Amino acid sequence: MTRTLALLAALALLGTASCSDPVRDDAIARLGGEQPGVPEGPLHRPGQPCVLCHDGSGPGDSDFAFAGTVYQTDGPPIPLSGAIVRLIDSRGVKYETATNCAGNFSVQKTDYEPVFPVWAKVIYGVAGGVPVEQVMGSPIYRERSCATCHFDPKGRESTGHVFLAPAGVPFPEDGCP
Amino acid sequence: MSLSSAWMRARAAVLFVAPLLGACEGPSAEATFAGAAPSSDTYPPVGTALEIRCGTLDCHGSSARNLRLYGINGVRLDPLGITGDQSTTAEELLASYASVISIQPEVLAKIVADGGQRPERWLLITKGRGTEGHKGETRMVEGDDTDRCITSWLLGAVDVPRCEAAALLLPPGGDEF
Repeated sequence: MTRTLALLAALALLGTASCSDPVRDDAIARLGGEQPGVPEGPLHRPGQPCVLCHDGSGPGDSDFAFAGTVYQTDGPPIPLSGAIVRLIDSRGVKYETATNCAGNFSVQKTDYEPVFPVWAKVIYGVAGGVPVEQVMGSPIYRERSCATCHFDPKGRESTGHVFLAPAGVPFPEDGCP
Repeated sequence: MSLSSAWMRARAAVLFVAPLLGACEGPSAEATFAGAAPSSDTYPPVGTALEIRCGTLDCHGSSARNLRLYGINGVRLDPLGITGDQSTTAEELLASYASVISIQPEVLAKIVADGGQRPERWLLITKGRGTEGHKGETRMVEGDDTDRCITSWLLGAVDVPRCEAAALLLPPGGDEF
């Protein structure tokens, strides 16, 4: 009986060990801790690859189809709140969500399960009676975190943070209280 | 031992040993593999189609992939280049060509020697068609524009209109989604 229990415990340990992904664990560890004064939740960790943790297997609670952070311009990374993020998949199924005061947005998998490729655009305000929008230059084929490809500084494998307008365009005072 | 049974044993021994001897034979020390691939001159329309279909940052437009497609939608060849900025260069197309033809070069050489027949032997085709495990899932269907573009290239007569159609990838309904 004792030997059977020991064997079962060993098998359970082996099962747990074989499910861990050291590459993913390292990537999460490299993100560092929470920013002081910002609790875990929709406002935390702007600009980080959200789905690294929020992929349904933890440590984040939610399972995101897409998530990211939108900034005002391609200059200094000032978050853009109240922007609409619109997605459309290869079947023509659309989904819209809005950014919060940290510029963050997320789409739950339970709300939207697209068939790739997916196209994205950001819409904010109106100029000359026309909504101002920024269309993503290429479709998304599988990555669900914006920040995996959109990180600073721009370079040969990063297109920089997600933004609405060119650097220098003024925006109203913004940010979280 | 009768003559016939001795003969039978000798025959059995030969039948058993001969295949083993054959299995130990390999190419001679001087033998070299001479690859054969469609000409790089014929690659640009194929490369343009592959670039938007497979070469985004989240897929093969990444230095982390064995099949590496350089260009505006993915990793840049120039270490100082910026993805998303500036069009794909001739050098990048050539580097992508080199990467494409280095996928299973022996198989590719056989297909080329066979006049492009049975392209489904090649990994690029099986992965793209989703008949083999592919993290990017099925990206083309036999006979569609992308598939026809690549297979016509293997046949030695690139179907340029089909390549151009494959390279024109827009969201359902166009950019006005």
